[in-house]
Amino acid sequence: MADSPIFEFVASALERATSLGRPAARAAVRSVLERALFDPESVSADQMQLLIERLLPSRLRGSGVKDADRVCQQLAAALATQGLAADAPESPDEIFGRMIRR
Amino acid sequence: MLGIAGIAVFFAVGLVVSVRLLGLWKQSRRLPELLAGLGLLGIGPLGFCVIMAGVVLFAGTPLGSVCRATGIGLQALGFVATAVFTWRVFRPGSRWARGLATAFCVSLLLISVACALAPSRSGAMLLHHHLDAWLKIACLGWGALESLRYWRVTQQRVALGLADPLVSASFLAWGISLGAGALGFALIWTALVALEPGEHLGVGVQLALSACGIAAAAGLYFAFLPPKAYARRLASHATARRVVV
Repeated sequence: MADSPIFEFVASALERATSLGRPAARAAVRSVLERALFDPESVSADQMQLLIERLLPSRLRGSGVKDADRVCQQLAAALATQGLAADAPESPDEIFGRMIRR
Repeated sequence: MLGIAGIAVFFAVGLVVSVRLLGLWKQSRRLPELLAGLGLLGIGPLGFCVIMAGVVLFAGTPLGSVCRATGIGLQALGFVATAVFTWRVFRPGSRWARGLATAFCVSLLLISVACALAPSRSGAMLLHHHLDAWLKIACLGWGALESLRYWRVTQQRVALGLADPLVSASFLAWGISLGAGALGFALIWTALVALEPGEHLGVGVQLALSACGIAAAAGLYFAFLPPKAYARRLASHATARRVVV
């Protein structure tokens, strides 16, 4: 399966916003996805937003990116304005989240 | 009576949960709610009660046979809905899961027709009774394994602050509920194979069946109707265990 448009957008935006080359930018995004057990093919925009906020900053700092927090804030804001949707069905979390009485 | 006590608890909780899920489906028109609601209703309260009505109220009459066949059909539809739910919720893009769910559906429906049309006259189990039992055990077991596998995935996400601890726990509870159901069917099958025709279930088997019913009911309750104190406890536990990144 091809990587989702969400993955492609974030990896490309990260490449443009930092000194990371294309392979390093893609590897950084892929590594945070793998750490949280998400697939690049099916990750949703909401899930990617959380990953950018919670995991990507420390990953970028580890790669020597300066001002990683600001870069991630910009990435998250850019992703939010895109209105991208993964070509994937609802996740089990979304389905069970609906069915639970709160 | 001992065995019926735990199973009655399961039917009561199953009825409440399935009616609630079907109510959610009526509002949202989404397939998972319909499948889960029909699955629970068909396997538990509806299918079993129609079969029992034939045995208890209309034994030896044509209506008894009609109730029995209808109950078997309703239960088979419940298992079909459960197999499709497992595929659509946990592995919607998987070809092997679609194939497995399709195989379950076709086999369950065909064997339920055989069970409805050719009941055992002597009380001994026939080949289609064995197949019916093992298909049902496999169907519930598959759902339990998928839910427990996904629970492990979400546990890692909860630790990173990326998943809702209550939703994660509902996968564990649903897996336990289906697993207890599979164990219960396996127990019944084992007991029926071991029994002589006309012999009754032993106290030990009845207690084990009751325990399976209670475990399945508890799983359903915590999966779909979690108490607020339980949800708060899960949230505070998740916060305390969150990994700092």
